[in-house]
Amino acid sequence: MPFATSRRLRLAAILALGGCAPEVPAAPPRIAEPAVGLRGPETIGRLPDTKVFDATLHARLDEAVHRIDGRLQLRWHNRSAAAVDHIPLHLYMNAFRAEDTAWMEAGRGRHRGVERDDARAWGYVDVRRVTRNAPADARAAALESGTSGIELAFVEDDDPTLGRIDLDRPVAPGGSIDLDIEFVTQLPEVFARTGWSGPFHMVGQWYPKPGVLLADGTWKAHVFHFHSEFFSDFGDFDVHLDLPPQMIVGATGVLLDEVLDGERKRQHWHADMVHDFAWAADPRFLEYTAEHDGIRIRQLATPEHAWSVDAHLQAQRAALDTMQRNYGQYPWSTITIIHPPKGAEGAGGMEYPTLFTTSAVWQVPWPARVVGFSERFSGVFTTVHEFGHQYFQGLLASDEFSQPWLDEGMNTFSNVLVLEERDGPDAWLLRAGGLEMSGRDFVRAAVRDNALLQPVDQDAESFDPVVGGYGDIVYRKTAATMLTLRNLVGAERFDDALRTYALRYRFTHPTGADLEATLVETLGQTISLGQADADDPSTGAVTLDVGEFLDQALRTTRELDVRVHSIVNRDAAGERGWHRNESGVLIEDDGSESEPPPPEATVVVQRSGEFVVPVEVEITFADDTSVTRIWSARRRVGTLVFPGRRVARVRLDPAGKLLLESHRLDNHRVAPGMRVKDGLSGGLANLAEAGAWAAFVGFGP
Amino acid sequence: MSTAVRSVIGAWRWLIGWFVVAWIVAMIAGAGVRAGVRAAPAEFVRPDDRILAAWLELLQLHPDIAVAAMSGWLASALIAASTTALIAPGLLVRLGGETRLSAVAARWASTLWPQLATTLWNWLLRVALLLAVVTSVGEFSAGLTAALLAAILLASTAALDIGRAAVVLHDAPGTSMRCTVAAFVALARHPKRAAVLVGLQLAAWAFAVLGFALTMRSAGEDIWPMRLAGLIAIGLGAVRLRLASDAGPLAVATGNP
Repeated sequence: MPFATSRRLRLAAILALGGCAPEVPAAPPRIAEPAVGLRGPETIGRLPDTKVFDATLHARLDEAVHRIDGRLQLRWHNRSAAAVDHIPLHLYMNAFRAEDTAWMEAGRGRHRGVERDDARAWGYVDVRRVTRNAPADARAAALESGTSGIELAFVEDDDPTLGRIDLDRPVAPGGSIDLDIEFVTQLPEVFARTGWSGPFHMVGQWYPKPGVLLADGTWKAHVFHFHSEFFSDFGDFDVHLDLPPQMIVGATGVLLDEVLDGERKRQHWHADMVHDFAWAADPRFLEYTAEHDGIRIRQLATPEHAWSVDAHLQAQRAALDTMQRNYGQYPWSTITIIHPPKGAEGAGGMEYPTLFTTSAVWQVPWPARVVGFSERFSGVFTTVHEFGHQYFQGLLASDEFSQPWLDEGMNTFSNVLVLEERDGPDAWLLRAGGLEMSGRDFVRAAVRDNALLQPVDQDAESFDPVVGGYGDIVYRKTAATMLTLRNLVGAERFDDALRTYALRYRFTHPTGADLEATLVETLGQTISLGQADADDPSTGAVTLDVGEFLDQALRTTRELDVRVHSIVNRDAAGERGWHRNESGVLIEDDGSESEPPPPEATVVVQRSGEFVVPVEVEITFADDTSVTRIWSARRRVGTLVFPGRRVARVRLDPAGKLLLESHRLDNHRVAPGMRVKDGLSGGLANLAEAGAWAAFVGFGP
Repeated sequence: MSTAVRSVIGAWRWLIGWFVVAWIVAMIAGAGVRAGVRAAPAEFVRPDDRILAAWLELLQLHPDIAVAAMSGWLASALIAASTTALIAPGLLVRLGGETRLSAVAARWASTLWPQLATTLWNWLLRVALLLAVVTSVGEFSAGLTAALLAAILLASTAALDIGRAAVVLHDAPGTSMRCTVAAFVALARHPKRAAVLVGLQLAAWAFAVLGFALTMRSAGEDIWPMRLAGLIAIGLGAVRLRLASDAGPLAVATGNP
């Protein structure tokens, strides 16, 4: 085939398939690096005194073998009431050291759909030497012996993701210690959050990280389990990176200084009041910067993802607006979004202080676009979600091992609000033709089956990937819980309560108990949802017990499910028959002189799940008028009687407040004999018919 | 082309008959789903506007409804393929200008078996080619794989039209695989005709996709655009058959394969 013809055909094929490569957008003028890591006190107020350490990290990347020679100089303060004789270290990178680590054993080399094949290189962190600066009284001796400090014993635990430094002398309460830790980190070929892929390096959880010392002197440090994320104290970082000159780097904090030194590039990064330091490097990165509300937004994307940076920027702006209003000012001066390149998808969707990795926006194939399919899951939602973690774990630094719902679940809840504020109350995440699924729909769809396997409030280790359900339980059931509570008590009231929590516990380690106590304190233990019958004060108020609600939702597997059991329209009891008169004589009433009995409707509602929560009941009568009642649902079955009326249909939870409810279809019932289109069978039958037509055309004429 | 269209319009009763067959098949597929939904143990009324969420819940609770839909689609595809094979000989004769029912019936009866045989050979070859592409996963990009699959389906259909026309109108030996091969060769030798046949098939697909998209966009409320698209696609199929008959007899060597 002639070359020109071949080229024309190829071009036509590419155009026909909609496979045109999107253009790489030109970068707007670069926003300068902020001079300081934190925004000014006039914006973010006074920071609480919760800093535990000052860390200086030196890291030299050998990009050919993906190895980092590192040194951590740590000044650690004992802020507890007890003396400390050892310091546990998290060595998260060792999860990827062998098949028999706790992490690898649980996941069997598979994480979020990305598989670690045998060809992928392992990773590890190896602590080579730990010393501490000699105390004043021994400094002279130490200098004389030619050592810079006193060597300390370091041992790994049974699982290599934990280690322990034994101190030669305790650190008293209020005291501090200067540690010098030399280590080597071999990055794995990325499939779960961290590692390398070609020239791309995502360097997260890469250095030895001390555990968290609680006020009573007990350490919180955990083996890195499959579903677990991380837990650390706040501190300041000065990080000195030694890199190949072509590397473009995104990192936690701000870049203070960069020097090209022969064949290497040296950068000095600084971050204030963060609990982790991560960085990414790739010579292919294109840089896009913008500014929003005084915060520098920096995106680093390889060319194949550059076309989508504007979508991520808009998502980031929306997230900043909503999160700042709901949970207080974002305290840092910068946020960096890393777009992992093709092949490094496993690094996507992970949060670190002032930096996160997002996922690529999916280019929907044209046949799907033709039938009206579009989605906001990929890319946009990831950016909203990962930025949300700057609050729910970055600022409210809960223990992700012990209570993962506090960051993942609360964050998912906040993401729904971001999208609703940006795109309207019914913001869709997925659209297929005229059909839409909103964030709330997805949250609701997840609270069946898997979400009922285990309670929410458990540590990460309790969620076995073989059993499944972690995402539905921790992310979406928590979100459903908070959205349901917000719907019941009112958005403004709930948002105020959560804002109180966010402001009260920023830069600390709040627990679930702290969150629940704040909600109960600000919302009240019990909340009146209104009269059971608004027209009849004698029916009394129906109340919601906030503590009981949270307890059921978070610490039980009770299913919230209510249904309309039946609608009975019949005549009221008449008076025909024999009755005694005033004189005690039996007299027959044959009905010839009395009115026929009036109609009477009885609605029977049922709580089919164990979860107790008040439910609104909307009753529509035969004359098309309707009333709403509130049913406490304390008892399994409730009856509502309407003398003189005939009921046409009944809907439970008509406003859709109970996102925790597992099954909604049986919330609706039409009275027997009432001819009402069911609204489901027609549409589905027509779609099935349309599919059959398409199949006929495809295989027939 | 205009002659072909006029021939097809002249055979409108055939088209309507074919359309009715397709409609009945599609309606049965829809009726199965309708019955499945109504048999689900609840009395639904449209739950606000979150119809997709409601469908999702329904299908999670009653996956048999999805099975019913898929069975309907599969049955529709099979019935489409077999009715086309049954109708094609008579339609080809009718499109050739023969209006006497007895003559059409006689030709239909005498060529049905070789026409079915050439259909079978074509489908065997088509499946073999499709399998060859599908089992080469990883060799080609997803886009190229889709393009190859579509190209195989389009070329096979056009070749089948040519083969059928040659068997019915020119007594080509349909029972021989060589007839099928000769139809592909004839298709390749006349790129212009091939482009027209493939274009008509693509247009039929496009109408089907458009009709389905419109039904989707209306959340299943509007089915008539899909039915109309089906009728147009059937008409385009008939025009394609008529144009394929212009290919004339095939150069098929005698003897068994």
